[in-house]
Order: sequence, then structure tokens, then C-alpha cells
Amino acid sequence: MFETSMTRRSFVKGSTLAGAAAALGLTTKNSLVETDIAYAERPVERTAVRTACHGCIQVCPCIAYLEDGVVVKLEGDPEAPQSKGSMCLKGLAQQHIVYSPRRVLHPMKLVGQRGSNDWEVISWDEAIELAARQYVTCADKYGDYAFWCATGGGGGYSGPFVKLMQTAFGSCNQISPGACQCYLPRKGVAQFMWGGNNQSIADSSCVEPFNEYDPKIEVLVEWGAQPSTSQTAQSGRSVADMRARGVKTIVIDPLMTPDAAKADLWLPIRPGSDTALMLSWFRYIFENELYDQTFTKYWTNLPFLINPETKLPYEANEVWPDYVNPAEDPDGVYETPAYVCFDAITNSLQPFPYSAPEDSPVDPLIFTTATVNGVEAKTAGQIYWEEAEPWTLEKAAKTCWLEADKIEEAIEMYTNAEYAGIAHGVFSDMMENSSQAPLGCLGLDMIMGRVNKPGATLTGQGSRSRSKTRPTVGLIANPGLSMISSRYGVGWIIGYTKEWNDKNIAKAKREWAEKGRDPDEMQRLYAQQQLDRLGMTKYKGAYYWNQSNIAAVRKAIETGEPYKPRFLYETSGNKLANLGDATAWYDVRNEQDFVVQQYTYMTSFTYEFVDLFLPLEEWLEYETGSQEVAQLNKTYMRKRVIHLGETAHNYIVPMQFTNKVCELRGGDDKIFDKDILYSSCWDNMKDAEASWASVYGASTWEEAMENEEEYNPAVVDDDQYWLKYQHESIASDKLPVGFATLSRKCEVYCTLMLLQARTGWPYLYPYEQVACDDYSPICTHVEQTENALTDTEYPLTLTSGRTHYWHHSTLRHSAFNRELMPEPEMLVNPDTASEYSIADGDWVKIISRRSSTHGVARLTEGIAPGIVWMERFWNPECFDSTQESPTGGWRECNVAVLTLETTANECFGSATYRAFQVKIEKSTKPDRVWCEPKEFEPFMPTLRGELQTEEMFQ
Amino acid sequence: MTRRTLVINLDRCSGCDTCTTACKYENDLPLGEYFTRMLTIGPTGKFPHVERYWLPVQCQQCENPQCVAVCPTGAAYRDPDTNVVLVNHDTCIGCQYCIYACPYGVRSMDETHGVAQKCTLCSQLTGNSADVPVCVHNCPTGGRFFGDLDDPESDVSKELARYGDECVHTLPDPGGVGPTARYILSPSIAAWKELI
Repeated sequence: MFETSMTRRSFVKGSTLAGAAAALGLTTKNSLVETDIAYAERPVERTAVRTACHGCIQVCPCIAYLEDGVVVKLEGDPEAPQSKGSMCLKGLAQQHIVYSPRRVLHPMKLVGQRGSNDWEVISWDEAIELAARQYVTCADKYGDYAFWCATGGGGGYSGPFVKLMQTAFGSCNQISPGACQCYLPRKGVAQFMWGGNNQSIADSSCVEPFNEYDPKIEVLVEWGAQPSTSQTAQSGRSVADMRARGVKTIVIDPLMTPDAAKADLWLPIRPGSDTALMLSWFRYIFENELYDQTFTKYWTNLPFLINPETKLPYEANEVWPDYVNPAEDPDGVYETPAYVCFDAITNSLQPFPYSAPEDSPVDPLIFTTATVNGVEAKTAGQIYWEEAEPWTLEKAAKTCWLEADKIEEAIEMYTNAEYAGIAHGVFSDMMENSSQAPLGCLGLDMIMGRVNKPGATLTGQGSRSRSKTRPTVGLIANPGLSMISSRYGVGWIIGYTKEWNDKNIAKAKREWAEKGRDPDEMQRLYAQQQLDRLGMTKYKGAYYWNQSNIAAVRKAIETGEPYKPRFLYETSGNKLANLGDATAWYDVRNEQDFVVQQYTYMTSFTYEFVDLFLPLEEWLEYETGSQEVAQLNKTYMRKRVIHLGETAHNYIVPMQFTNKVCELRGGDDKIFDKDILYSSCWDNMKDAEASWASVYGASTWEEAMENEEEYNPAVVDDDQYWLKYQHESIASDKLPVGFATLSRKCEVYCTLMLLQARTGWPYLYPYEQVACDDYSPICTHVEQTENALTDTEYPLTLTSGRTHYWHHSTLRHSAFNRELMPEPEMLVNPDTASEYSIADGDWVKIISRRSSTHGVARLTEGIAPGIVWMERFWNPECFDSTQESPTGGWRECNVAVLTLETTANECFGSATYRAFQVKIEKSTKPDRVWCEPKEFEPFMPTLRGELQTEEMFQ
Repeated sequence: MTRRTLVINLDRCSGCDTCTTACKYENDLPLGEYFTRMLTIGPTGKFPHVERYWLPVQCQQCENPQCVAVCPTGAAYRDPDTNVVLVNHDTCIGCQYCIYACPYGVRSMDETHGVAQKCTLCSQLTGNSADVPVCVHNCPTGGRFFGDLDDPESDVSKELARYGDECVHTLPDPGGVGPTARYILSPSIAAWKELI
């Protein structure tokens, strides 16, 4: 309890109990409207609940204050290790968002045509029955592949279960714009290259720069990363604290972002040219021998000689058939190959067995050519050098629109520091270079030896980064499952031998037999699903997260080839604001038999596509106690602070649907594999709570809640969290632990890129996907298909990024955020603006080859001439009940209608959401769009008087 | 003497507007009304040789506040204990003299009650010295500090002590009102711009 001078009167004043909920045909229970004066003047008791914010992808512990069961205040928790009491405006907005008249509190069925926005309230029983019956009708008629599902990004309200849902139903398609266009490529390439974490600050993979237990970093390169705007109170706070400690930063970003404004050096790069700059860094570092010689020789694969035919490293027994590999596991479990190098000691070709650097029999040359089995072969280092060699500082400066001396200054800052690292933002995931750019950023840190070292972004934390054996990695790691092969007998775990992998597959099949299922059929069907997933012959990197290629899915919906996805289970907010070429998606909306969406708010997507809407809890209403709610070494509980209407938990609703489908079909075995969903979904809250209790070391969730001081947060001791030099410790085979890759070394030359392109290995073993062209194993320069160097018709390059105000689709309904940023700003250099007679504050039309949309011009010297920057946006006010002629609100001001779905990265199929060509013209404000603060009154909270309800599906 | 005020470290501030909305939730301000606003200064210069910073502006807690000087009823006053500039809503007649007199434009009309309103440094929270203003508590960059300028152990004094004179600024003061709010901006981030 907290002392307070507030009275009920002040609360009543704060509650704008308008009846705007009528927009959705709902009524509010305005019990406080009739408040009498005496009651109103009485002091109210204020109570506090510790919970955790979910206003963005990350987590900031916070405190919710309640009066009479109503949340009246949120603030950051001062005990939080990163946010330290901070809570940003995205999180604070929840106190309006949760009570917004636009919340949906009951299941809603579309009664008119799609686009009519005509809904009726139905019960959960009716809703689940309707969804399941529609599914059964559709799947019975068209087969399992008629089902598909979708989600947003990793930070969304619905978790990773969507990746499993396709499999549960024997289907193979799932899309998420927040996968191949956000994080999957950077995370995947890091896994391919060293089996460890990646350089993303936003996803809390790169946290060593924020280590205050043993702070060491001197220089951080923020390459296309903007923590101050993306995770404002979490990593935004951390970079502010880090800079205040004296850490220098280099920011590489077309826009002078808040982080660029604070940087010691800003390189305003031309959007889409990053790989050219990376190669110039490689060239400079190689030429001036600034790399870490020992690490590069002994902990990377750059000295390995590469077979020019296979492009793969020679193994020693290919050259010396009788060679005995000293690192071979006598038990046949782990695999540690020996390779071939050119040895400087003997000046000859030699086997290069795995060992600690000091125990190595060779001193391998990194850059050389040698004759191997009668063929001229280059080392991987030589191949990299030849790729980088043309990229002088001057050539990179010209290509990237930078100054050569500034590039040199940046490289010198980065290389001269003893402790430094690169943080790699989301930009490249949304471009055609989505595999080549992380190959570059990771490769640079690796040749500098900045791996598992103080200050290095590529430093693992906690027990998961520490192995006592030769490390292994199972790609296609699913939530709750170490590897898909452990379930169906498909896939190879890297680091184990073929013998062990085959045994592992046999074990999986035995388990199916014990369950009474045909093991060969389960393996074959699962493999066939993987082979039949849309787009996978070309873009096999998407296997890493079981993602379909989004453009291929849309094309299949449009043409029915090779088959037609018809029943969609959608679990995120506004696809029409997030998919590439949103208009092309709108055009296929009526090619869907039935669309279910589970979310907290109706969005443009709901308006245009959805037949049945299942209402979810907002983050003040749902509980979570998993590793998803962690800040550094502390894991927090997210609590049910309030609960309104009939909203339900995001991990339980899919199970309700699945259970009903099984019931209608006559058994749990009437879909492919219902049980796989239980690795991240639950039938009810009791089951969920049981799984969370162990995170906190409590026997039950009730015990954890009742003794919160003892259990919340769960803490990993600093000395067990901030680990270093993990790869150097000695494993069970008496060799250094090394890394979870094929070679047990950092694969700067990434052999997995080649192997997966050819057969889909290791994802599909023992099955094979159709081969496609090889993916580049090293960073190469990839120019966007649409680019400023060649395009004269659409002369301006548009790029994008986040602003402080938004994350989830829900936040566009925040009146207090919208009044500050009512419309998207198109940032443009004054010289460019003057060419189009555009003044600051003018409405502009932005036109791409796909479509056009609108924004407000802001003239700024913080961006180069020829580039425009605009955040994606959408306007939920366009279908507010006050509008005379409503629309879905996704055409008016929305970058997604300009983006491309067709040009794609070679490995991941990442579509182009940034760095493409547009033209602009002066325009006028689109109809329906609200710009003045008072216009947002219909978004102010109205549901504070709602009765508190119990959790659905307890 | 006690002089409660804010010190804002612009080396940290990223212009996120959390102070703006945190204040609105706490002080129950309607749409379009603010006790604190975020100004973006720059980018100044010519691309790419530019610099930029953000300047949150709220009541500067002046030593000689013009709002108090012009108030015909004494409703505008400095709290005798803390020297925080406040408005007595019982005696304010809504004449708006103070709004026009304030050189920083940080007072506005509470249209509902017909009185002048402004930042109180969250007096409902800080009045008994138990807490800090919500803009300070929640600042995502840890860039806002609250306390007594005359107490060397206060948060504001300690933060100021970390910087040299060249980094410590006040808003321009042509009228001699003596703003006590301090802004920290290091020349390495950006040169302080005189805005008036």
C-alpha cells in the first residue's frame, strides 16, 4: 500500500467514460459515473503490483498502481538491471491501451462482407466451434495444405508456437514478416558461423557492451542499429549509460538518429550499400594486418584450403587417405574433422588438426594458394581477400556516398581499441543483402578475435554459452524442442557424427512406434511437409525458423499453384502495414475461405480479411513467467494485474481451437501431431503456471506468487552470467571446447551457406531438397535491384526505421502518442525538397512502382540529398465509428504499400522493405486522417469502469 | 535556502518524449495540453557536418519568476519551503497574464477549471520529499535529475558536479528571471544554441 494524496474525484476526472465502445457494438459498465461527492472526496487506497512491460520486443520490469481495481499509474522498476526505473512512452501507453474503447473484449464474428466492418458478439464456445468447423470443412475438402498460419515478429503478443502450428496440422506454411525480414538472417548466419549468439541489440543477443559487472568495451559500432528508439528504456538506457562511461560509438546509418547524434563518428551511408563498406573494412584490416593473427589462424577457418570444385574445405584424409586425425572421437559420437593448410614452418601442405593454438603442429598461412591433389586451391582467407581487394576506401566512399577519410577513421577506431565489437541492426534483414551483411559484420568481429572476450558483442552469457563437450547445434531449434530430428527423425545435429545422427533418428522413430504411430510414415510426412513448403527450393535459409517464403505464399493463394492455402490462422496485428507490397495482398483477400485472427485490437487486416476475431489479453492482463521475460541475468514475472471482458491468453487460444478440431474429427490422432503444440501452448492456465514455476525454482506458481519477494526475479549470479573465453576451456575430449560448427571453429568462410543451398542439409537429412544456386559463403557486395545508381525514373531512395512512439500495432491507438506524432514524417534533405518545391510541413505523396502513399515532409540536414526516410505507419482512425466513409486505414499513410515482395535475398528470401526507389510530389492531407490533438478524443480510455473478470480457460 | 529544480542531461536525452507523456498521465492533462514539451535542436550545419540535440522545456523554476510578478491575485507563487513555482487554483482568476509573461511559454490554461496550470514538479509526489517527478523517474536515458540546487548531496548537485562549466547551460534569460533549471550539454555532443 502507498500513501497518496489523490482522491476519487481526481480519478473520476481521469476516466473519460464515453460510450465510444459502441464502435464495436459493446457496452461499458460505467459504475463510476454516478459517483457521489462524499465518496469522491474520500482518499483511496493505492496498491502496487510488480509486473513486466511488453510495450516492445523487450522487457522492462515495472510497477502498476491500482485504485479500486483500476490501473491508475505505471512506472519503471528501479531494481531492473538495464532499465533501472526507466519506462518509455510505449510502455506507459498501456494505461490507456488496456482501457481503450477500441479494445475487443468478446469474440466477434463478421456478419457482413469483408471490408464491411460489421461484427456481432458471439460466445467463446461458438467462436471455437465456428473456427474448428470451418477448418474441418476446408481441410476435408482440400487437404492439410489448405491450412496456413501467420504471426508478426518475435516481440509480438503471440509467441513462437505459430512455427509449430503448421506442423501440428500436417501443413507446411507459416509466414511472419518479422522473420526473414527481421532477425532470422542475422541470428541464422551467426548460428551457421559459430553456433553462438548474434550482434542484435534489439533481440538481447548482444549484451556484453552493457556489462556493468565487469565493464570493458571501449568502442561499439552500431551498424544500422538504433537502440535509443527501438528499445527506448531498455537498451536505449544501456547505450546512454555505456556512453556516459566513456565508451566511444561509431554509428553507420543513413539518418542522423538519436544514437548517431551522440556518436563519436557518424557514417551516413547510402541505403543498401553496406556490403561495399564492409568489404572495404575487410580490405583495410587484411592489408594493414590489423586482424588478430592467432585467432584468425587457429580459431577461424580462413587458413583452410578450399576445393575449387566443391568450394568446401579439403579434409586431411582427402589428401592423405591414411591420415589419422588426432581429434577423432573414439566413441564415434562427436565429429571434429582435420583440414588442410599451407604450413609456414615446413613451407608445405600439411594436415591441420583441431587443437589449442599452442598445441598446433602447424603455423598456417591465411592468405595463399597451393596445389592440392594436383589442383590449384586457395585458402578461404585468400578467397576473402580477393573479394575484398577491389574495395579500396575510395571505391567504397564513392559507392556508399561517404568520405574516405571518415571510413578510415572508423576502421582505425574499431581496430585500435582493445575491446570493441559490432552491433548489427535490422536494416539488412529488410534488404537483398540479408545474408551477405551478417556474414560481413560477424566476420569482421571474428577476424579481430572479438569472440567470447570482454567487451565483444559476440560473447555468450550464462550456462547456455558453456559446453563441457565438443559443442553441437541443432538448427531448426523449436521452442521447447532441442531439434526437430529428436521428434520426427529429420535433420542433422552439427557436431555429432553420422553414426550418432542416424542413431538419434532411429530413436525418434522408436518413440513414434511406442506411441502407436507408423514411424516411417511420420518421418516421411514431416519431411514431405518441409519439401513442399512454399518457396523452399530457392530460399532454404528460411528452414532455420520453418518459414515459408511470403511472396511464394501469396502467389500460391493467387494462382492455386502448386496448391492453394485457404484457411488462415493469424496471430498478429496488422499484416497490411507489415507485408511487402500490401496492395498485392489486399487483392487476394477473397481467395481465402476463412480467416481467424487472435489479437487484442482490430486492425486494417481485421477490417479487410478476417471472418472471426478472437480477443486476446493485453500485457497488463496476462501472466508469463518464462525466459521471454528477462533483462540480462534477471527473469521477471509478468502478472495479471487486471482482467477485462472475455479476453484470453495468447498461448491457450490456439490449443482451444486445436482441441476442438480433434474433437470434431474424432480423436487427437486425427491431425498430424497435436502434441507438438504443447511445447509452447497449454490447454489452460494451470498447465501454463506449472511450467513457469520451475523458472523461479518454486514448486508451484501459487507458491511463487505468494512469496514473490523470494522468487521474483529469478537471478543468475553475475559471475555465472558474464562468462568469457568459453571456447578455450577444456572439453571432455581433452581439447578446447571450440565452437558449434562443422569445423569446431568460427566459420568466417561459412560452409553451411553452401551445403544448405545444395540439398537443404542439415535441416532435411536424410532427405534432400532440390538444389539451387550456391549461396555465397562470404560477404559479397549486393546492390539493391532498385537503386539510386541506376534508376532515373524513380530517383530517390526510400529507407525506414523506428521512431520512439510505436512498436505493436496496438500503439497506433495511443492518443497521447498519436497527438505527438499524428502522421508519418518523410524526412528529406532541403536540397532535394527544393527540387520538388516541397516545404517543411507539406503533405507529400510518395510513389513507388507498386503504389503510393502519404506523409508530411520534414526538411532535415540529417540525411543526404537523394534519400528519403519514412517510418511505416497506419491509421486506425480511418475505421473509427465517427468516420462517415471509413476505410481500412492502410493506404493513406503506409510505407508497406510501397515496398517489394519480389526482390529477395538469395538465402533467406528476405523481401525489400527498405532501400528501394521512389519519387515524390507535393500533395494534400488524405481524408479521414487525424492530425490535431483533440481529434484523438475517440481513442481516450473508456473501459476503466468495466467489471473485473476472471481469466478465460482457467 | 532550498531551490528545488530539474537538471537535464542532454548528453543522454534522445528526444523520446517519455517525459511529455509521463507528465500527462500523472497530471491528468487532456489532449493538446502539456507541462513539458520536447524541442529538437537541429540538425544544424550542412549535411554531413551536422549536430543535433534535444531540449525538453518545462517550467524553469525561476528565481524572479515573471509569472509571479504579474499575477494580480497572488495565485502564482513560489513555495516558501522549496521555492517551487506553483499556482493556487483557489485564487487564480484565469486572467492569463502569467501565461503571456512567462518567457519560456510553459504555462497554459486549464480550460476545464478556468485557471492557469503548469509543471509543479509533481508536487503530489514530491511535496513530502518521498518521490521524484514522473519525468525523472521514467526517463529512458536516465537523463533527468530532481533535487535542491543548494544541497551539494542532492541528485542535481551531484550530476552538475560531474561536468565543467562549459557543459552547463541555462535557457536564455534576457529578462533577468533567473531560471534555476540546468541543462548539461557537452561540446563534444553539440554546441549549445542560444534560442532566444
